[in-house]
Amino acid sequence: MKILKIVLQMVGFVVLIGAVTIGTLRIQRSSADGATVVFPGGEMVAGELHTGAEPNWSFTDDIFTIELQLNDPMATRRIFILESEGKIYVVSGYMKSFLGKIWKEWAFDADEGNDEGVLRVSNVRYPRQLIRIEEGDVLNGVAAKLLAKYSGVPTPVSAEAIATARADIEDGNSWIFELTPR
Amino acid sequence: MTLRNYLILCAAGSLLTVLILLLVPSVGESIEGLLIAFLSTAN
Repeated sequence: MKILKIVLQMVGFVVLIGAVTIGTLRIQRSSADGATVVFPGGEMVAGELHTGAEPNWSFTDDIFTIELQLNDPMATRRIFILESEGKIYVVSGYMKSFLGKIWKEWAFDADEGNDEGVLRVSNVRYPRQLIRIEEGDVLNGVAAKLLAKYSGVPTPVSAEAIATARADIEDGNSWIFELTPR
Repeated sequence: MTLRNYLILCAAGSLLTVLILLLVPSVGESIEGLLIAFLSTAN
């Protein structure tokens, strides 16, 4: 009985220190310039501010994650990016799961009106507006790119796989936002 | 260990953890690296 008590005390202590560590890092990172994969960051300051014509976004095919800042409240996330037919999109998966509702707070924020922000990729900042795409044939290209880039599906992606991924988006399991210039 | 001593130990451990993370940024970066590796290992 005494040993059990000591073990429980040790486990409790380790869990407490782990929680304090993660909480401290989360607060520390919330004011940092940009985000990491694990923790959201604060306002993005570094990097040239882009003006003028839109670039050819196909270069993002070689970029796994980008930083996206939403302005109100100000917070930055590191997330996936997709290019399709010259436009760029960000994706937020697991939106109907319990963890998704906690972890993907930025997507709910963007859908509820916090839809202006800044994209930073290759150390260049692009002012953006997020527009959620819930249906339409544009999702075919987005779904194909999502499968090829992040799920390792060989190209050309089959029509069946595209239809399944598109249905997943239209059902609201994954949310897609187009990043338009502003 | 009495409950009182255990709570003191927890408070001291928490305070020390916060101080180390604030005063030695490389510790936080290392922990974050471990977390990223753990999460990646998503595959």
